Amino acid sequence: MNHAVTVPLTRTGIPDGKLGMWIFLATEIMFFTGLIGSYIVLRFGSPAWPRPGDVLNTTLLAVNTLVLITSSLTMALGLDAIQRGRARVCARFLLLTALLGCVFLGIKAFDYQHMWHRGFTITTNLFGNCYYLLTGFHALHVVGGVVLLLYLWGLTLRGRLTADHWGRIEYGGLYWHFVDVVWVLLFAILCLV
Amino acid sequence: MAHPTPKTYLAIYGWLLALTALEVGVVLAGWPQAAVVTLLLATAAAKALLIALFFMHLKFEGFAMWLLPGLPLLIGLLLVLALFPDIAFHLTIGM
Repeated sequence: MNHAVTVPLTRTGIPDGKLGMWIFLATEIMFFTGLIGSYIVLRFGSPAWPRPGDVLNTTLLAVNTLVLITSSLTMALGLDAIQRGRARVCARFLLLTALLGCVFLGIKAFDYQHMWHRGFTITTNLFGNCYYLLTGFHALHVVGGVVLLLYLWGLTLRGRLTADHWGRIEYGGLYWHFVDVVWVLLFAILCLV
Repeated sequence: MAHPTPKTYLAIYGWLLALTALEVGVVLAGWPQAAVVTLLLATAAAKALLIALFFMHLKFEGFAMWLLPGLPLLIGLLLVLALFPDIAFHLTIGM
């Protein structure tokens, strides 16, 4: 598959949409690196810190990791489908990805409610503060991703995105995979270590 | 440049599942904390790299594209590392 055939080249040699998305992701990397970095500094700077395994529902969080990893696969398969001219298959994969995003948010909401009733809230201690802040910001990004996926799904169904015009699906996919990368790191650093 | 095929995506997905299972297994095994932390950070980095390289197609991009995510990541990590002497000093004084 040739990238240059379907997306018009620019002076930079990189499609504008892709460059714009990567610049946006660079700002997002700074945002989350700042948050995760603050967590690491706070954790190592505190003489006492609760064990995440004693406080969090690790099984539930592991299931959520599987859901988000699976959604990354369906997103990648959706892009592959549209590049091969199979718009309806792509639309199904985009919808499936959005649904998996909703499943992730549903499990997260259940997790928050469960934790809250057990007395682990945002004001319980520094760990509670970090946990809700980091996972909350991530969940907001998932919400944005689901909205974007549903928009792309609608465009694909209406025939606006085809084998010759699939750039927006690639850019939306970059965002969705980034959200997955952030969760993979949060799961290990915040929920397991 | 050629992008990965569905077969490659499925293989990467398999690796991601295996690494996640390894992470959970390491935590449940009850190994020493230092070994657990090292292994978890290594597996998380490997998973993030696999997603970035294959799902986000960074493996097939030029050097300029690598700079966009690479530079802010490097600056952020340096900022965190720069604070560690302060943490060590703070903990030493507190002891």
